[in-house]
Amino acid sequence: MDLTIQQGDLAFAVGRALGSVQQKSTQPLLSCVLLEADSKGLRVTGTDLDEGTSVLVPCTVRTPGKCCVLARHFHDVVRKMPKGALTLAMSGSQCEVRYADGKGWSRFPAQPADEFPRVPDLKGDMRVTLEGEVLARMIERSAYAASTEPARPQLNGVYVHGNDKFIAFVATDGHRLARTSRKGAFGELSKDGIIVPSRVLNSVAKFANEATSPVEMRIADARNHIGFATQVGEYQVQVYGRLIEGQYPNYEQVIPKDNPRELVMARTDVIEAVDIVASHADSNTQQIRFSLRDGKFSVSSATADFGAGEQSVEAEYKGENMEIGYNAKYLLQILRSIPTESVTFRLKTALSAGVIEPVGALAQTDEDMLCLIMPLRLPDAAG
Amino acid sequence: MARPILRLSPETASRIAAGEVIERPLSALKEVLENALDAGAHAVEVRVDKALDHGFLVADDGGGIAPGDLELALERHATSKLKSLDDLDLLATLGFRGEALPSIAAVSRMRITSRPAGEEAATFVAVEGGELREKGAAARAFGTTVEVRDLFFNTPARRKFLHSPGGELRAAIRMIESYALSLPTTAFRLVVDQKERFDWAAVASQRERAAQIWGQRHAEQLLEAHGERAGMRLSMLLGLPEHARSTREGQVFLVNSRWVQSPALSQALRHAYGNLLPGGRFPSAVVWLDVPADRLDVNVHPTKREVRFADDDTVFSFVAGTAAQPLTRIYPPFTVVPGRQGGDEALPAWAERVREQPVVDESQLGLALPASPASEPSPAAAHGEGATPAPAPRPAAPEPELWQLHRTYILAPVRGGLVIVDQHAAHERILYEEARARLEGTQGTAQGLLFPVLVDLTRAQFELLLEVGPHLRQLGWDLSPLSAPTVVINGVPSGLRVENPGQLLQDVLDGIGEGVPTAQDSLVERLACSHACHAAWRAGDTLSREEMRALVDKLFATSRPHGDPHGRPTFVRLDLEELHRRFGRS
Ligand SMILES: Nc1ncnc2c1ncn2[C@@H]1O[C@H](COP(=O)(O)OP(=O)(O)O)[C@@H](O)[C@H]1O
Ligand SMILES: [Mg+2]
Repeated sequence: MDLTIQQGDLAFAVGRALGSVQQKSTQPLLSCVLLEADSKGLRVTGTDLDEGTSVLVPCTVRTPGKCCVLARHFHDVVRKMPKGALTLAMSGSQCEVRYADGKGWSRFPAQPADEFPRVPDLKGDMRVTLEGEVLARMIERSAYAASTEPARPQLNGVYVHGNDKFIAFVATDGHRLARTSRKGAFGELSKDGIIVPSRVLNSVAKFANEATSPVEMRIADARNHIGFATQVGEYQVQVYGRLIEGQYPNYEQVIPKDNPRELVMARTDVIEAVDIVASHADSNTQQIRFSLRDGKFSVSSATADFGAGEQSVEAEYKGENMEIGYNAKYLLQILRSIPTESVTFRLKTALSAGVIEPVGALAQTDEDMLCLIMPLRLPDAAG
Repeated sequence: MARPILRLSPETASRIAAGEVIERPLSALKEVLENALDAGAHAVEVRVDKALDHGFLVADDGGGIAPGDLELALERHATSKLKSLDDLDLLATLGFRGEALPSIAAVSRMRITSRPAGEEAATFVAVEGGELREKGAAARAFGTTVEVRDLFFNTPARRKFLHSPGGELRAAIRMIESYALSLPTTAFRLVVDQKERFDWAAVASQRERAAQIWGQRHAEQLLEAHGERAGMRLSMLLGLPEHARSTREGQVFLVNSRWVQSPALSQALRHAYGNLLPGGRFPSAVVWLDVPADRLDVNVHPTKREVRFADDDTVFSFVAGTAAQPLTRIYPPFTVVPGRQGGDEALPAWAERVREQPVVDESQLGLALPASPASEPSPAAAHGEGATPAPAPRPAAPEPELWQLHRTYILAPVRGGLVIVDQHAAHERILYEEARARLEGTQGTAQGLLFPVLVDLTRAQFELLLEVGPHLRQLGWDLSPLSAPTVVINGVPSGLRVENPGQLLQDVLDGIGEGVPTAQDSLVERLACSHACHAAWRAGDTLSREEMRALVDKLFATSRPHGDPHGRPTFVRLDLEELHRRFGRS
């Protein structure tokens, strides 16, 4: 291996590949990034077997070759090197980086690359294309609601499904649910959707916003792997991961269609009220109370340890009086994910799922979103 | 027809495992039920009046006892099932000692009514504390009814050590269930306080019986395994790994139709499940094992609950091997998620030191990245909430004040030293006190579930659930019983990380039944303990900084922060003085 590369390009590639490297890996090679030079340039890959990132950067390759270097260590050194050209070459069993101006050099112990896990090849498989910022936005509006508990692995991911009219991203942990959709022809996804680990999507979201070309989702025919490929300027970035197997719960069935009580409020007002009042809530339950009385609305909370507080919020409310408990953290996450000025809560009883939706069209009129939240049953609740 | 009852010779009698046959009301019912089954009954009915020690009866349609033998049946060492010790090698009955009826008769008020085939009418005897009180004719269809009232009425010291009536009844149900599984072609009916608890008609197969007991849905999920080796025959219904329990109570061993306890069989099962189950969980399974009578010693313990196999190793490998077959076909999502216990050995010694540090500091990448477009809301706001599942870089925090060590301990600097908190023990203490408070007053809140969870409980768990239902609601459970023994979980106690609501519920119920209750620990106390123990974080759980904060704050706000409910310490303190001394700073 012998090549010349710009320091900025190398640091970018290694930095991004590092995002998929687990700190505490039991297999030494998985703490490394793989460097591969060929006629296309230098490809840097990091993986933990469940997820991988690979970045191809342009450079002048004199001799192709490959090796593995400790990811974090290599990154820490390279990112501090002076801007400008660097040469990268093997020197015995070490990987040597020299400043092109001759002022300095570093050598890194290298490992043979043969054992490094192979990146799944997703060339001939199903493809779905989305603009990077659309993808990033859909991830942002859904992934937060996924579960992190290992007991039900299906809920650890975002369910992506569609047909010839729309594509939807759905995530839930069983306590709340977020769904966002976008119009378009996505008939490829119609069979039965796929479940993408939210971890993988969070890595994708990092570069989707900077993408300078649409992001291509490649789904293996066996529906066991997915890859996201795009261009970030001159860099070709690819994130791939293992899909979660199993059946996603039938979420459409739990979306209430006939919640009669409607509450409309300015989004920032509720966020403020919930945020302040939650300081009095129990740190684990995060329980706050919505009181809807005579067309007035207030948020309150009280605990023995943290005191009590109440704040009223201007709201339109048509319906009977009711008290309903919520987890403040869930509420804030939902409210912060909604972009519109006002939000609607559609409620039925103090025990059943509430719907939270934006009021009016989103800035992107072909997009839609909906959130569900399950209440906390208050001790004085009926039922 | 009735077989004649004979007195065993003194030598034979003396070599039969002696000791206390009737240790608790459950043993009395077990002996009487076993007699009914030995009599070849096609249908048995058990009736309980208030509590087992208050009164129960077992009625069967078996061979009956000849009128002239009725009094003999109440004598010690009189049996129709065995003549000499050698007969034990041919034993086909559950009883063999002729000791049960006299032992029960001695400590109760008992009435036996029996009409063997061919007799015109039934005959009865009434006994009180072992003394014959009455004998006469009665009307009855063919078969025998044994009624036992006021158990231990003449041994008040004994009464003091009885389990709670509810617990004894649940154990009885588990026992009847086990015999119902043992003999699917026999009908079983249970009536408690005039209310029918179950009525299982005779069925042709073990799986049909399982469906009667646990519901169709659950029975269909059970895996079947069969085998034959060296004169032994084996059938099993194996629970899926997700049906595993925190105790062995989900295991039913039926050896030559006898309901037994067997550590050997239990180990063989555990072996078969291998890494499908994490440590501390026991598979649920029903095992029917028939071995030649001469290869089995049933004369080990007076209650006949233990057996000894002539060839333990063969039995072990036979059971483990047969059970493993259907299990190998189980594929994810049932694999155990790594990292719960002991997954850390491979870590270098310095690993914990760096674990809490941010992964990648984006702002320091060599390349100035364009800030993400300022869409509303900013991604940082949406992702910075800490619930984002990715092990994504956390925003660099100021000097951490709390560290998690080996995902087991929390290190907290305090004035003059360091406190090391055991996360499980501490959480248990907190949850225990919360549970007590909730059970005695303010009801806990339930986090509603979008997807209600259906759980198939065992009968015993279901019974217990009916008993403790209101208390569980106080703790924050939102449950609605479906057709017994299935229950729907609509909500779980809020503020807990409940990975698997069904499993937690079963563990909590099992936990209440564990161990021998003492006078001062009430049902509420045991529920609080079980709740705390099973809902608490375990070693191996990664805690966020906020969770560690809350844990330490709440621990020191409890009434007894120094120990968990079992008396294990929750934290240790390391003084700076001590450190200084050890580093020679004096
Ligand atoms: N339900 C019953 N039907 C017929 N015979 C019975 C029944 N219960 C007890 N007996 C008779 O009473 C005898 C004594 O019973 P028991 O004291 O339990 O001793 P064992 O069962 O060891 O013989 C039995 O051997 C049997 O002959
Ligand atoms: Mg007997």
